[in-house]
Amino acid sequence: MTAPLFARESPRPAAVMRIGLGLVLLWDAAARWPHVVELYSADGLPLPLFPGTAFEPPALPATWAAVLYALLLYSLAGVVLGWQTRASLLIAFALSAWLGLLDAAGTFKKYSVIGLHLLVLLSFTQSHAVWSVDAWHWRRRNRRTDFQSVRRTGCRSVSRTDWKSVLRVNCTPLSPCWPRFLARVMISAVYLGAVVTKLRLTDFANGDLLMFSLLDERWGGGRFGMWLATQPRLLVLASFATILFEIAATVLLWVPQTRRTMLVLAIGFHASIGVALHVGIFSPLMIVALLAFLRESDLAALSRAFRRRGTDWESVAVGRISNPSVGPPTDRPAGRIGNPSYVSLILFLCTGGVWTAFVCVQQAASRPAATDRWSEVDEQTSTDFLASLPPRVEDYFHRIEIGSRTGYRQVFGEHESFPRGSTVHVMVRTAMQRQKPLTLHWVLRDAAGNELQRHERTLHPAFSYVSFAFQTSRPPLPAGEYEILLEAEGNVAVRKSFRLRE
Amino acid sequence: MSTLTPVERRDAGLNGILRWIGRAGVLLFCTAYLFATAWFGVRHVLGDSLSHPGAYFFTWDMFPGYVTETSRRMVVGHTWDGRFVKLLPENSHRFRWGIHNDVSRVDIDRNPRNLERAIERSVGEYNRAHAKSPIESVLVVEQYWPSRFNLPDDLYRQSYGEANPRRRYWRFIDVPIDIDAVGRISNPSVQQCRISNDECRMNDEFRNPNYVSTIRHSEFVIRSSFGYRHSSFAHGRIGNPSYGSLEGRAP
Repeated sequence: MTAPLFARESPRPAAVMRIGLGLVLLWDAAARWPHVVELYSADGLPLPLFPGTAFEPPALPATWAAVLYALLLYSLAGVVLGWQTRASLLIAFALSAWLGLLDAAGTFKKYSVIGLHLLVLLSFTQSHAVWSVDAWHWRRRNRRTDFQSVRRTGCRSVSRTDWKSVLRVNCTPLSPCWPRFLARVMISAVYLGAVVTKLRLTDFANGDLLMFSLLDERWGGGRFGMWLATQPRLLVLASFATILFEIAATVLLWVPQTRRTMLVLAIGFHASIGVALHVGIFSPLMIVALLAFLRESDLAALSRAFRRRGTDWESVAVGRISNPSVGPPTDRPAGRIGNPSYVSLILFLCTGGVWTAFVCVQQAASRPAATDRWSEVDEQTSTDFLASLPPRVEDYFHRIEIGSRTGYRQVFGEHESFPRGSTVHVMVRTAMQRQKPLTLHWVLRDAAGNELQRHERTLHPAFSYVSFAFQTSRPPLPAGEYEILLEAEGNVAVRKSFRLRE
Repeated sequence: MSTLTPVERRDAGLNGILRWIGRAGVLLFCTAYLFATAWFGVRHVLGDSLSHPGAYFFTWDMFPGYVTETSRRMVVGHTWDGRFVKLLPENSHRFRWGIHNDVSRVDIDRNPRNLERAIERSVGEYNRAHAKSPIESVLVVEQYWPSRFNLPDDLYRQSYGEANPRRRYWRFIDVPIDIDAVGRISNPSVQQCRISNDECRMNDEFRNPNYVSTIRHSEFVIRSSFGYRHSSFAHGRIGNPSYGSLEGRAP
């Protein structure tokens, strides 16, 4: 039963994940580099995710925080380059968790957790076996070595007669399947959890969650997202499409026949989220995570598309050709002075050390003097917040719609012109917290401003929708222009015009 | 093509034992990972998503809610000489978030404990730097507005048929916080406010419109007279006994 866990596969999909993950996390971490002292040091303002618990790591002084952060950047660069890959992955995991947990506000989000999972899981793969500095070093070392050295460095199954031919196919080890299997499980859990969360929110189905998320300045969207927020019908469709996609992805990504299609759809789905919302690195990170479903055959297909030929890893993995190796390449340097590993290590540390020192000094210098840290609140602002005046009633109403028939928190049908005698449905979406019930008056006026109907209702603070239906047949209203007014607390909150036709 | 014998067949003895241990470790890790995923997944389905801080690492509850308004939080310190000083976000806090890159961390993180700590820290540092006019009380205020005002002008006009008014409102988020000599918060009502800042409101006395109007009209007069300012501000209105100790203190 456990055999599939211990099966081996081509390391190339894992290598693609490693490079992608490293790039995304490096991009994210580099953007915070100017704020290290503020976010992660005891000299700044750490806002830990779990204050006062065992999950609150200690905040270090500014210099050490900058050094640790520099180490995080180095390790992420190591992940991208595949240099000391496994150590880089584990260091990146430890430092991301440590520093991330110190800053719930600007750093640690749910997608950070996805990144942590991937860092750990990839450290168990042979993602450094291809497209990495490690692999290059290893091949370079073995090219100059003899048969015994090859065996000592990991290729223990290589026989005396064919070790040179084995080296020609790089003697690259295969990667265990189980880390990417667990990554696939995590992705399915992510989609399933997202579905559960959305199903629990009644306001998701009517598009409200998406609409107000798009309007939110923290997570909301740019121009496209804002436009989408003004399209109630599209929001409903997009909300249902999201749920349908997440349910489908949970299942169909595992089905061989639908895997590729779902992968493409999922990448498109996350790309659209990235365009519509401001959710940090969530979208690129999920696209990288989805690569856990990538297979060697997909890469081979891509290679064919680009007319490049490489090792038939799929065949190697299933044993159709001789498996050139089973052991991992050693990460240990050969032990001679002048070895590229030592040279690169020294260069790395020297460059990094200088850079760290430079940035530490720069960050320390950029901190304002104690007297400049706080500014006096201007008179207008202090007067305003002391007054703390309540909002105008019209600001409690987000949207008003009229139609000839009503649906689930929407109105449909005609919305400007109605036949005489028909019923005009009005639906209003409220907004902002209200502390007490609002007394509403639904008023119907004619073009001359004469009040024809007035109905009083009370809107409890817990309700976010209010609707009403005006009967134009009792008493029969003539054709013409009319106006619906919603008054709250004696003021007109919203108004909408319509026309009755013969 | 030569015959490559699998290592599994060739290795024996110690290597075999080590490999067996390795496989057992892998099996254990996979089992633990799958169990944690399943366990916290079921807890999430049941609605108990935060049973343990560890649940955060296995619970996938993206977009758990929304707000219909946008807000900007500010912690204001009221100094001994009657000035209002913006304590948080302070000028050195330059990290910003959001689509317009203007949301401070105080606006993102709403954990009251973190806010409490940040206030303690800011007040302590401010008072050390301004010993002659220390912070005597702290207000947490929030500027807020309906989210629809975030729409660009053209989209707003298209949707609502009028220009975007971009009105802004203010409210008090927390109770006034008393600060002792070393910057610790001593008001017990703040200590009790653990669940959500939004549930913590100003007490009715402080929100009394008469009080507010008194402050509004007398604010700039009071500035020129410390004694009058404190006796009026402290005793008559807030009703907090700790303010009584301010009287007679030298500026």
